[in-house]
Amino acid sequence: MIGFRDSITLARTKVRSKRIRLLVTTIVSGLLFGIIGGGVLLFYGTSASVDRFADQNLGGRYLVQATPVIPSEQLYPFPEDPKLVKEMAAAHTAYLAERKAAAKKYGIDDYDEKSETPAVVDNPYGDPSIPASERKMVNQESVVWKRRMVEVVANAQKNSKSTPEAFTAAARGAGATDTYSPKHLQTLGLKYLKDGREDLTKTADTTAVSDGSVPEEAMDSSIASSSFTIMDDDLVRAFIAEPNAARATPKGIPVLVPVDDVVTTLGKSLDLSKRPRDSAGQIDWYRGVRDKANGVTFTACYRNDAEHARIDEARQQAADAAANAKTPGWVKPARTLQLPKTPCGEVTVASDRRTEREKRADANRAAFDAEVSPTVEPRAELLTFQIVGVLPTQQSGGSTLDAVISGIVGTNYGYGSLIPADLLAAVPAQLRHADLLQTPPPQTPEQLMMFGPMGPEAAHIASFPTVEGAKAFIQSQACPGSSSGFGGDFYTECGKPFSVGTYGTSYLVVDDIAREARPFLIGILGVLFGVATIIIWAMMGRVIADSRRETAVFRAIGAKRTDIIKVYVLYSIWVALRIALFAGLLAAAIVVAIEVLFTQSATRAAQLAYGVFDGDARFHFLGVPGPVFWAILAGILLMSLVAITPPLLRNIRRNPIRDMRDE
Amino acid sequence: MTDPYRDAMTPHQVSVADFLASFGGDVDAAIAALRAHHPAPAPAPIPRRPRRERSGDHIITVTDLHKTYRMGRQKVAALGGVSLEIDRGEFVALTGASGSGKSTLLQLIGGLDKPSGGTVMVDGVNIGKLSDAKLSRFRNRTIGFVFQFFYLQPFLRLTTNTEVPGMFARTPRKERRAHAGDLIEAVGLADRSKHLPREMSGGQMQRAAIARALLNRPPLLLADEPTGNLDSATGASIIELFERIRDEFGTTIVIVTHDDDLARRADRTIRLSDGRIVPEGVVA
Repeated sequence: MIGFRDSITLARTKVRSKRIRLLVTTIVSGLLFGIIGGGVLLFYGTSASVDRFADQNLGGRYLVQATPVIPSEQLYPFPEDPKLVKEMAAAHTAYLAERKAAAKKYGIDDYDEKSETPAVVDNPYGDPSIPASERKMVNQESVVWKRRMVEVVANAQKNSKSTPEAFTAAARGAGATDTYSPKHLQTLGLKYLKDGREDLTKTADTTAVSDGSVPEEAMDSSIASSSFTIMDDDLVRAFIAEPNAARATPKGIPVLVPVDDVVTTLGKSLDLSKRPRDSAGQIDWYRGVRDKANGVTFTACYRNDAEHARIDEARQQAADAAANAKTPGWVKPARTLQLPKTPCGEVTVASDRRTEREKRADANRAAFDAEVSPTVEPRAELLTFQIVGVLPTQQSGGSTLDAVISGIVGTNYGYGSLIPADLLAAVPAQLRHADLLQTPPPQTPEQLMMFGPMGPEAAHIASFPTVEGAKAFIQSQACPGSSSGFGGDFYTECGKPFSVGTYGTSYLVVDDIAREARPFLIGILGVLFGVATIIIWAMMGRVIADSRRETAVFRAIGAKRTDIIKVYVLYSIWVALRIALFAGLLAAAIVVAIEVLFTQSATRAAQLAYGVFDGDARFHFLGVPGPVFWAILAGILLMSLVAITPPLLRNIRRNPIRDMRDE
Repeated sequence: MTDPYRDAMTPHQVSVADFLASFGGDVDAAIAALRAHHPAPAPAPIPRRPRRERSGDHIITVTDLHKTYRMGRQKVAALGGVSLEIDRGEFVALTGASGSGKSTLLQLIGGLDKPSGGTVMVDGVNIGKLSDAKLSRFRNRTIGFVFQFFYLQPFLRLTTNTEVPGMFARTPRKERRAHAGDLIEAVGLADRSKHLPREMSGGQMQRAAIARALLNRPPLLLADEPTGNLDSATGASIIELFERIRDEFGTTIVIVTHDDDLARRADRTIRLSDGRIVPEGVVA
């Protein structure tokens, strides 16, 4: 067979022929493959950078959060269900009998059963074909319904496979080294005291949040909405400012506040500017906010429902007194209440002119009411929070690269402001309010109905030592077809006890994006690959087909078929290598250009997102080429070889005379 | 058509433009002046070559050779029972009208096509019985081919073009390069050894093709219309080259040609008509 060097010599003559066609093919297909290769390099680079930042942020730990899943039909029965309506009607009848007996027992002569909220009401949205007398629905405001809900929730809680213990067992079984259960304080119904002041005479300032709802005006700040979660220090250590003013001089409950919330709520008093648009400015801005906010305190007020009721009563009395000041014969109530004069103070009794009989009657009334809902002592407590650091938040909106990168590498601490548990334990007892924070009050039926048996945003967190371990656990727990939820938790119902996702940093974001975008990318890359293939196929096939005369001449002067195959295979490899080289260089050039143009801003965006400011980690787009990249280049080679095979086999089988004559 | 006067300008160191300028741009005046100084050379008649005695040592023995082509449903007999012998060192011209079968016969002798019947013995080998690989090797070592359209590699310089048969024969590079240089010199192209085919004239390309055909020192050279693409003077020089090769290397040469003048330069002319050999003395 012809020697390798001579084969190269002859193959090169083919490369020098059809130069324009070869050049166009190289450029066009190289361009297409270059784009594909660039995308792959970008993927590898971004993925490695995300890992690097996640590693610096979490010290090589990968967190998974799990939100309990309890099928909604267990909690929320259909209110028009005739069977349920009948059941509630019967329960209401029994309840009225119970109330009548209690009224008799406590001597409540004026008890009127019509004052009770009915358990069954007309259904205005019911099927008109049903007679109006039967078109009924359950009234969710009724006592019997609320009692039933407490029962349902308790049962769901008891029978749940979504308990912290179940999660811990599953996570440990999958290789988790630690598990955490953040404690949410939203049911405390804390009320932020702006500038430390409270004015209960204004209606707007009296909004009770005891049902867990967030006042509209407080939606844009976790301080204003008093959304606090006690979190293990391990998970948030990166954001605790050092040196920490709170550690030196503790003045309240230590708290990490999302940076935007600090600016929104305390910006004016701390003279903080708004978030700048560019990422370089944002780092300085973040540091500035962190430094200025470090050690700053703010206050919030805790009041229980009984205290809220007393405030309502005091306010009503004050309003009545004002309205009737000039009304002849108007008599003040025997007992009057005084609104607190200090922030978060308690309601006091201003005067009590009740007779013993009246006092006994009131006591009986209280006991009568306690039959329906347990009596608790009024309680008001002023809580002081001290900022010990700020949490990064994702830049919202915008189409700048910073916003895009922030969206990719964004963090998910998702619970408003965070209270580091160890720091909390270190503050003096009088500032800690341990009984309130460590043991939140029992949930009311309303809260249970709103948040479910596990409380608001109940979630558990597990720490895995490797990204693969975390990923495997997420995949094992996730419902088929769902993402890992890099943007936060989500709710799915597919029989799994938890919905799971990454927590803290989006270390699986590139995986997630790749998975989400896979059908689209496969389509696009498939088209690009297909077009490039057709171009190479057509060009190579044509070149070989056009070489019939040359093949015939080689055959005439003594070339064996294997000699000719060797020459053309080398030609094919030569062309493929040119295309692959061009594509590879182009891919590298694309990513290097992105790297040069954007790596600084990307690094700053990632630093902001991960809160990693002091390390030397940089966000690189250019990654070490992995197997997919090499597979693409190998694919070009393979494709070229496949493209020449049919015409080449045809050529060497043909009668050389015919080919020489034809041409 | 070439004009010998215009051609005559070429070797001079004075450029055509300068020469014309000296006549005020009048082409006819310039040519007239040339005509006066350089009388037109008369075309040299091609002398008939004295016949050489046949040695009886046959390098080619063709026996009852048939070749039938299919054209649709019809069979066309290109050769119908050709038998001949060609001696070693003989210079034979195959002539005949178009479609007489002369090229077919040459291709069958060269093993480029398979006969429908009969045998072809070349250098003592029945080439019809060789496998494809062996036949290729046989062609490479025993037969040199020269084509009407030269078929040189367009992007190889003359020396490398000449070496191509040696590449397939795996002749050591140094050896074949030296031999290629000798052959290039022998065919009168020493000053063109680094040229690409497109930088050479038709006659030079055919000389190059002849040099290539001789690289593996084949005892047999087959040429299919080697002068068909050349003017008569160049064609005559190619035939002279064949004669010299035969004389210097003892190579047997079989050429296919339409040109009776050129055929007369051969030791023997075999005329074909309708796929058969026309006996000597019979007018086809």
